Amino acid sequence: MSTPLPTEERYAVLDRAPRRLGATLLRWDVILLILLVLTVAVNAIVSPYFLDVYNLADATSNFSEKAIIALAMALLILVRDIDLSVAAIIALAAMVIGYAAEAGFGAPVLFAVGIGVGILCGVFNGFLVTCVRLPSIVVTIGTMSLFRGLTQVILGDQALTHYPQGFLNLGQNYFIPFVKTGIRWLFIPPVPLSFLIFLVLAAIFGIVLHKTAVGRQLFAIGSNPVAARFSGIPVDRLRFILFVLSGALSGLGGALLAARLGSMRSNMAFGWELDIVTMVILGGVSIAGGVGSILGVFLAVLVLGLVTFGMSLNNIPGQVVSVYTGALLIAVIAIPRIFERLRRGG
Amino acid sequence: MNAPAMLEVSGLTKRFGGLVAVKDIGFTVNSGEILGLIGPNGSGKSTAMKAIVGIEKPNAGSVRIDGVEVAGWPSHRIARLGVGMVFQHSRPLHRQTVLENITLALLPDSLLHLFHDRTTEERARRIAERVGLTPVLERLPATLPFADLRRMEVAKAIARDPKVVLVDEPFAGLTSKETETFAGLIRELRDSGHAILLVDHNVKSVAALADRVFAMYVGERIAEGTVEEVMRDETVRRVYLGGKLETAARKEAAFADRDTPFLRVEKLNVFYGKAQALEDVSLHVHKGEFVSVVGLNGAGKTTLFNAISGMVPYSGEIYREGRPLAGQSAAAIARGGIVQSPEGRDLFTDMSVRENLDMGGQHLDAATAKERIEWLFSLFPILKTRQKQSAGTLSGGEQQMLTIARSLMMNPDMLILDEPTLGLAPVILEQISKALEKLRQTTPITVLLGEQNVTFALPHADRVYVLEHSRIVWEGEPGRFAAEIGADYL
Repeated sequence: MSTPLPTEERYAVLDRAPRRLGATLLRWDVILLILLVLTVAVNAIVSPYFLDVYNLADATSNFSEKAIIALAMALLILVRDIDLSVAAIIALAAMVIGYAAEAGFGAPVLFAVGIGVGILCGVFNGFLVTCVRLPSIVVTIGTMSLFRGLTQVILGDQALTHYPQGFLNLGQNYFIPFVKTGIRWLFIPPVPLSFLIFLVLAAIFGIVLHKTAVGRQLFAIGSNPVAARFSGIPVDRLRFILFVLSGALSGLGGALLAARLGSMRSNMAFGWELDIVTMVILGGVSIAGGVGSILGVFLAVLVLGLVTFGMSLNNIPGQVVSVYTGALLIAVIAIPRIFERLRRGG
Repeated sequence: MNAPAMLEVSGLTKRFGGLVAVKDIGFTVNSGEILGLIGPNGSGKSTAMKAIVGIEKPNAGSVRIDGVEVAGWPSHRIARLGVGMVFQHSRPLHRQTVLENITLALLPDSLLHLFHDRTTEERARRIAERVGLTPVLERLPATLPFADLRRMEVAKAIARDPKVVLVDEPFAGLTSKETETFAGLIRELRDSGHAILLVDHNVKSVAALADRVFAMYVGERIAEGTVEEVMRDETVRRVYLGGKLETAARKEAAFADRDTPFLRVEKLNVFYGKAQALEDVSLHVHKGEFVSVVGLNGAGKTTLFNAISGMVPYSGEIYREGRPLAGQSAAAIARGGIVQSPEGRDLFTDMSVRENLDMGGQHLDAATAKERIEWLFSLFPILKTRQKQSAGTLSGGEQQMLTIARSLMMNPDMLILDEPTLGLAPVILEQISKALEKLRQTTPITVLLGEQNVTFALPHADRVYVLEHSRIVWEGEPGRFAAEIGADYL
């Protein structure tokens, strides 16, 4: 009557390469790198003006403000959150900067004011998400309207244009001027302040995310928030800090944009939040959380920025550029999955 | 016995990734017969049931309903062919009355039948009468007692007069009187010619009802026959009761902190919405003591542990060494040394074994962390060989060991282990068992273990609490367990 108790292991270990995830990530970065090379090559062939250092330097100022905010957005999406109020914070911060400028403050104070306004907005978002426990997408859709609406109510259809020259110089001149060394291929390129800030921040973010304990905690939260709590990771505090960071960088972006444009209206940076999310997703940060790299986001920023710049050099209208970036995003996300399915499905 | 088999299952196999949840299972249920499908938690019986009704697609094998092969069909087609299912947890439409809920199950499938005919409601009333719901037809589900919600599930399942009725955990959450009437209802269904499959983890609860019993363990068949045969079966006894229970409890008086125990829980109440998950639960654990909280699924063990870990809000008090824990964040409690190894093995599946351990040891300095990892590898040698493998590709047993190891990596004063044996093979249990014993003998750690597997829980306990329906119903030394309350198990 009695049968022997099944003792054999019920589980079979599915043998996979141990760092499969790393391999996928690497492949994503490689795809972006190829895209970047292709973009540069095609543009250089099509237009003789593309590889001009001044043109390229100007091109970077068109995407650097977004790119700076994309760094914070990448961390938020990594931990399964999102901040859709960033563009509205840009406008709100730029407006307060405008009033401060009219009151006679100089450039350093104006930048501090912008970042300060951003931090306040970020604290508000972070409080609602982590203390009141509302989903971040709902909260930031709400604050997107709230911050933008506030700007519109206060400003109406007015524009703020009285910024001090010192402030405007930071946005409109090259922070590092073009320096020739006499040797043909050796020179220091002109670099606008916004792009320099992006480069420095990208390096810092990359090191923090990939080389420090805090970075590992962020991956842990994105990978499994429940396990993260059980591991003693202060999940909510970190998420709160990320929202504040996102607000601060949006405020900084607002200051840089106001300095570059020399004026602001309430519709400033309208719709940028989705451009920024696009950069992050194209950079390989998973909406599901726990997967992504700063290198990926960095490459995606360059690809998107140079594609847009190259197309505008060739007088291709903005709508077509938008079609192209949309197709690019879907292709980059879909291709690895289609290959994966083909490989597994046989 | 000559009646044709209404439900005929053979060679049924279901895999989830590397886990074989159901392995080559076969049985038949005839019209007018009740078959009890039993097995401890994680034995694969629910998966088998889901594979039969098409919620899960079987990897291999055949499922025949009244001679029609349905394996791999979508669930709505299988239901239409004549399979009704009574779910363990009812999910009624809350804004509709009982009558409307039942009527819904009777609505025509075709979109072309836009208007429901008068007879539908009449039929719904007849079905309600059959299961004894007539007095509450116009009430909303939320106002019904639990037993009536189960009746409503039955009404929905039999609404279309199915040939086969599957009942998942028929008596879970019912009082003994309700159990009796519910059993009567199931008997009536059998006598009117339905083929009935009862799925339960407990032999005893289906004993009075089932004509035959099919027993499963870790995905495989271990016994089949009449209730008496299966209950006498040595394999079944071993699965449920293990061998002779050997306990090595230390006396409570032996612990130094008699007056202010390390952990004291007092009159703990937890509600999930309207449902009470814990009711006036009080317990204490001394420093260095191993305490087991024994209870079936849904008794409230996980809720209790999550309250202690600061994961769910509660009323009542939880003291650590005399100081209340309330108000501390979950992360602070964990870093403070009360660490939970959660049920269901919450791991960072994208990370390697080593990275998971490092995550637990993030607050330690490099030398201590290294020492601790070495010690954990001596406790769970298999993890050492798997260091670089990503945690998601480990077997269930290895994942469980890694979850425990990650918690121990945090150097806890108290380890809370929630259902570490869930769905694991006996070999693995033995390894985890040895590790726990080593902890008890070589470290000052305090352990609070939650288990429904008594065989595993008792040998590792100095004291035992039994949690049943959200309340503590028994407390004592493991040696007295069998005599005083053991009969209620199995």
